[in-house]
Amino acid sequence: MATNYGFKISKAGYDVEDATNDQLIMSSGFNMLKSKPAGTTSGTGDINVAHSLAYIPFCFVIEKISANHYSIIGDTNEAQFEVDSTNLVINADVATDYFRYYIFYHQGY
Amino acid sequence: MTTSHGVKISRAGYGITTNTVEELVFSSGYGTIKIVKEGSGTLVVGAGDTETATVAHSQSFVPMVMVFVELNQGTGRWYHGMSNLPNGATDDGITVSSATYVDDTNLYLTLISSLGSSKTISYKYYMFGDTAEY
Repeated sequence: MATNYGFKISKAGYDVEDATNDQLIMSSGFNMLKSKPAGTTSGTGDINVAHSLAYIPFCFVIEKISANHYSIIGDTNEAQFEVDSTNLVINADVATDYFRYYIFYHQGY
Repeated sequence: MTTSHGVKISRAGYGITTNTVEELVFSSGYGTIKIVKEGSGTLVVGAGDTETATVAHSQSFVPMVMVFVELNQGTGRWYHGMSNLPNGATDDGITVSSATYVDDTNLYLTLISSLGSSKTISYKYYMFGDTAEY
């Protein structure tokens, strides 16, 4: 009986038998970030987005920093976000800010 | 004819039929983050100068992008985002003020130096197959 089993896909040019983890497209040995449908929101001050999960999830938030210019939060000095057991809380400015967010089925904190 | 179809892979120790999404490595019923382009480079900025690296993303949408920078080459200290360090923050005496953003054509990495001499930083970027657009 096989003691080593699973599913792996390597990147083009790499042998799946010898590929290191960063040479794989996916492996059943590693969890993948599975996302809820992405959403957008805008506003001022603290913006609450209910995540409806039983844990504090892993999230990405992108800010529209000007017309057609976007930056993931962490790449700007502007908005920040935090996540609690109920909401993704985006700390917007006093002027209206615009955001896209991704919430994942993965406990982040 | 079945009305439920797709691909699922469960995590080790979990059954495939009774699991929740958190117990799955992968499910075709949920989106996953796909890296559509990744790369690295160096950015040289002169004393007290501003320099921008431009990387075409070749996508039909504005992609979500994540950037890591090594402000002090060879130290192994990589920071998330060109400006994740607040303006004026330092790494071994290097003061940075910078910005990273993406538009419908390119990723832009800008480094503004307040140093008295030329500075080279290293960067790595990951572009994802999901939109950043509002």
